[in-house]
Amino acid sequence: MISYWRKTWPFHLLLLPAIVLCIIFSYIPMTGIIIAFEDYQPWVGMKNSPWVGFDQFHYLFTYPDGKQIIWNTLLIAFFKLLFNLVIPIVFALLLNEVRKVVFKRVVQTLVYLPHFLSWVILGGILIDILSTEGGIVNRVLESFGVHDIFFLGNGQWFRFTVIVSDVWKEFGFSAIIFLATLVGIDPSLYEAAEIDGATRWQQVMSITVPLMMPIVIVVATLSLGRILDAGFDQILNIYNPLVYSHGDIIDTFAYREGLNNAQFSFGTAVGVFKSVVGLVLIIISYRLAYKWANYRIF
Amino acid sequence: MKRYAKYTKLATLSLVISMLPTLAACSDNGNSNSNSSNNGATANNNQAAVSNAPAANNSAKPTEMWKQKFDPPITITSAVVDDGASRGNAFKPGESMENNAMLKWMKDNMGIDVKYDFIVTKSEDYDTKMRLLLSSGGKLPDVFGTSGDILQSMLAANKLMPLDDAIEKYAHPEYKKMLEKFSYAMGEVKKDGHIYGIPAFFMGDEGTVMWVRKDWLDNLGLKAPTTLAEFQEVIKQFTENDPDKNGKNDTVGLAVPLKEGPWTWMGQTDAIVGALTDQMINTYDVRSFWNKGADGKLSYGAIHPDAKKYLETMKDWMSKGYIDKEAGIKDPMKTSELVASGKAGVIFGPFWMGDWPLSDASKVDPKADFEPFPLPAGPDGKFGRAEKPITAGFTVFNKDFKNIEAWFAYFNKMFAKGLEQEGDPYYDTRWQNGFLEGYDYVTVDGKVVKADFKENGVPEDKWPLKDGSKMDMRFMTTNILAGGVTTVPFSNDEPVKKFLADPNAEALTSREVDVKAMKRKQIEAAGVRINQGITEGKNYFTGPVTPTMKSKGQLLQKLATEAYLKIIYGEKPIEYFDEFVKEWLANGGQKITDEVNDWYAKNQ
Repeated sequence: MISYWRKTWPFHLLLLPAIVLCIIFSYIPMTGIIIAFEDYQPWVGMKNSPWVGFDQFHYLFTYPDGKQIIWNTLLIAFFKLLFNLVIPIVFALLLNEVRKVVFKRVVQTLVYLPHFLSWVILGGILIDILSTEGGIVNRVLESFGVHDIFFLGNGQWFRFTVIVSDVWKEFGFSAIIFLATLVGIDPSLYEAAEIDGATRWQQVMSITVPLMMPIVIVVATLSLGRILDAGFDQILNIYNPLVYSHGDIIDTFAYREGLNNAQFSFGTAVGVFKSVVGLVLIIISYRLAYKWANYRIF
Repeated sequence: MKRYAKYTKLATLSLVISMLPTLAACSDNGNSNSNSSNNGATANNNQAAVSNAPAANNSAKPTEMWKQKFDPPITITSAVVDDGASRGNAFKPGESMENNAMLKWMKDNMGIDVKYDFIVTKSEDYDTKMRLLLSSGGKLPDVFGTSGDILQSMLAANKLMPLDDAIEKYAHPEYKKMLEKFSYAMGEVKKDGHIYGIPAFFMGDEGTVMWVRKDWLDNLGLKAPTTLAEFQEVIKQFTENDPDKNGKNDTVGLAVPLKEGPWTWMGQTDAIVGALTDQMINTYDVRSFWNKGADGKLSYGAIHPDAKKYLETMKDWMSKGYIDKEAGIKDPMKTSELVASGKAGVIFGPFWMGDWPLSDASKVDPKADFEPFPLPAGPDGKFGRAEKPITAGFTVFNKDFKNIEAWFAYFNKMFAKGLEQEGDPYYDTRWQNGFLEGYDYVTVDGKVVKADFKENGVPEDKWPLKDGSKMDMRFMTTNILAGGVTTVPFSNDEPVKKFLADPNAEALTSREVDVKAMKRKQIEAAGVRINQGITEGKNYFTGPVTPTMKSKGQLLQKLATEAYLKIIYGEKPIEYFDEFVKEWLANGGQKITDEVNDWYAKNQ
């Protein structure tokens, strides 16, 4: 034991700053969760605000629109997670098959550019290009004989628009990690497969896909924790009263309620609720990943 | 961006709050100069006694109040938002908020030493800082500006000074009159019958006028509409008859942002509401509009049965395509783009739209000509519009602040400068030509030059700034007037009339100089507003946010904006309005109505 410490103490020392930072910036602030169980009043402080137990949570679930908002969130977030996983994988696989390096690089750069644009700007752009009065998308659809679609004013289309535009913005960036995995696959496997007479398709299905599975599981598991994040800044910038019923999500609701109305306790309660759901989902999916794919992240 | 910052504030706040004990320890030993332990509720304290003592050299004769000087000098602390970037020509090189010619002038001539407890770059940070000071029990600045929930928190925590006595004793008589006249607008700073904040008043000149494309009217041989029926005809023709003569069906009659409902800061349709009913309607904020009924009680405009008239009209226009089809997803900025692109013929809004955004339309089409017209009258000959809140912000005082008469000395001086009245004992003759020589004016051969220094033959070494441009004195002079420099509401009206009659008349007062500097279209629009002589619909509820507003206001706002849009877009029949009203009342609306009326009964 002592000899173990003698050998490893420099490593622990190196770890120390990270642990201290983690305690200061992640664990100590967690005491702020108390606010969620109080009727927090800034001028009397966290210690003296009246204790209300689960009232704030009760309010969230009995709020007349509560169910609708949670359902909207789950629906939008689920499809975002799904497509943000599937499309980057397919894209990475396709791009990996491209022979011309220049073309590959150019495409890769172009598709991950939107990731760096803020939704505040993109929101304005979306309103313009999806406009029913001269917006480019509706002009194109028109030439196919499709009647004007009010993308941002019709509830169903709004969800569709939110999901598609988010996937468009993020798929290039998400694909990077899969492309990196593909590059890391041992070329000798492909050589061996070719000698055995495998077609290109067979190589992909039998070598590339199985070798990508671990990273796919990691990404999927980690993103499951965000199932209640349906994209606050995106929706805040493009939603409007016409689509409240289909587009209002927990975050936008908490923003209006918690900050515009200065209901700090309620805002915190929503945050805690989201974190707890996220934590539970991560633990479950981690267990499942271990059980089915025999893969451990930690 | 700003919204996002607000969102993250929640996270930051929870983080910082958890560290409060340490912060409190740091700020407790602040620089409070409380040498006496009286409660400071009134301005009756040792310093005031000094200034009233006949022998003290800081006492000024009642007829020469502008000479007031405090000896020994008095330190006043404040706090300010200064991003350092958007203030333009506020300072000369080397100067800053904390160190500039005005502060030096105040120190030398008035014996007032201004210090800032903190200077932050964003108003969000300012709010956070105030909240922290409040929850940590730290020392608040002597004088600062605040509003909304922070103001209410401070009132609840008894951190602010009641000002009734100080106003009575020290305030400029004209300002006192204004406080009386506009006392209805001060509910937010009243508590238990005392006033806790000094309001800065707005000009009150932003009432809606109707902007119409004159060139389109001429193209179609139409006259400017004076009634709602004519108005409907005009927007019909504008939509269907190709008013810009480009051969394409690409125009729309009325541009209006409906994302926030009938009432907003630009493009609002309060004029349509006003033509149909006496009710004023805002769906986007449960604090307005509370209209006064015949029984003397207040009721919420958006749920009044008369609102159906507005909704039916708008629904009709929407279904016929006279209104921008995307109005429901647009805010005022987005709507102004439609107007500026020359695709819409009518928009309502304040007088200043004559410059931005409407002048942008002529960049697309040089012939584009938006002109201001009086509001159209409804079927019963009614016309009307809503009043914007008349107060811009409030200056409040730390309850331990001892030297409020020094603050008033400066406040009165600035106020008197705005009034420019002969024989006013507060009017500082040293400020006759401007605030500071070499800053907002220079003298050459006995001639005072305030702008265009190069053209007026001022030698280059005398220019306030190296590039010869004017200085913006607002930042330097606002200092301890934390809630903003007050104007006298409607004091623009007379100058507007003057320059409307004769555009080349000489500007004699600084108010006239400001008006003369406006764009011609803006002056004309201001004239249209004044001459139509409308009594603007007031919001009778100006009190603090009530408990139910706080807990249910958000839900009700959502309910109302959603219901209005669904009806206007024809997704729900007009009968849905009654259902909406029932829902509104059941979900806290009735309780809010009671609270509002309780408040009104006590404060009217």
